[in-house]
Amino acid sequence: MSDLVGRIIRLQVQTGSVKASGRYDPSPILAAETASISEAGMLLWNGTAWVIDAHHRMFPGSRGGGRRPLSIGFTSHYAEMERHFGDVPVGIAGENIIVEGPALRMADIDRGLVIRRSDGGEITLHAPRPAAPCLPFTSFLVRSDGVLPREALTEELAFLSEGTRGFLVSVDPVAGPTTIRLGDEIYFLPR
Amino acid sequence: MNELLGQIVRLQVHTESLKRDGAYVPGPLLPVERVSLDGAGALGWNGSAWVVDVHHVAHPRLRGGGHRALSVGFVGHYERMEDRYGPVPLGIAGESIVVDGPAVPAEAIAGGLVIRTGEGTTVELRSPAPAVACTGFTSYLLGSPTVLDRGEIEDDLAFLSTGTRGFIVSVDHIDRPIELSIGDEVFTR
Repeated sequence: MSDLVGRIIRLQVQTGSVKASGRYDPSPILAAETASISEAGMLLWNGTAWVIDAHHRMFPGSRGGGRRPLSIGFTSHYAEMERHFGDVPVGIAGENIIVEGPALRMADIDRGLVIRRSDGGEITLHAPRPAAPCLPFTSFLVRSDGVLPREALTEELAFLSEGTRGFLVSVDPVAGPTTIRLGDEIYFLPR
Repeated sequence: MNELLGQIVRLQVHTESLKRDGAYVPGPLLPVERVSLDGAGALGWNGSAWVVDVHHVAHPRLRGGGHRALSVGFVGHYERMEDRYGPVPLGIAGESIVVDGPAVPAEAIAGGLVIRTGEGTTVELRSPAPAVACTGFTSYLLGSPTVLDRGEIEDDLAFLSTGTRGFIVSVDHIDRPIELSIGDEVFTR
């Protein structure tokens, strides 16, 4: 196995749009201990049922149309955001998987990542690409009451754009639904 | 559309299988306000999120392989079950949709069903087929603490398997999600 990046400390879905009102509203973000991922996206076990993520291909009125089914963030990126913006709760950006790990850049993970479950099973996350920060989220971070124009946020958008806002990933299409849990480990995919 | 059969009085999803070691366990039945239905199956809105039905192709423990994605029951059939077994809570058989309508025979709906939503949208439910009652559910109705052998409950299985236990319908043709709500009307097709 390749180098360990860190352990999963948060799993979450968006039960609806976090931008339904035009502004960024994190209230539809739901976290739990267990999730199921597939190439179509992520489901979260809320203790009694599987809840479907807003980016899942089969979500009603699917957001992203399944083209950005899964996202991943790192606690060190949250630490960087806190230094830049003040208090930023872990997971507030809405990534599906949060890893307690370093502030990785694209060059660090361009080959992909591997989740190793506690039972030894593995699933590969392919084709990472930085999530582009949107104006509502960036305005939320700078505590603006409204959504600011792009030109007012040039520096913040650049700061968030290289992976600090998280990465979008694709799930191995061969693998069926795979259950993952808090504490599962994330590794670099070997070169 | 043809004859109005009744309005939807209950929508529900199975969050997990209703069978455990062969026994019927209705605990995972979840009544919902709305259902989003397409060819992949049903999602239920629990008030804050869309919950995946166990027959939906996205469910991690898919049952039925998406081929029996939806079922429909009728209040009239529940009344018949109550006449025979005593109290039978509405929806306990696990149908996705329960209609406040008569105990329709399979022949009466052989052409399919049509649901008209409050917004006037219609959706067809094709090829209704009586759901075959299992020994687990039938034993549950009889109040048996164990799952009885098929030979012991032949009459009950026959009674339930002609539509009384509900109908499995095909939704493979539904290519975009449609939302169903309590009060939507169900017609013969």
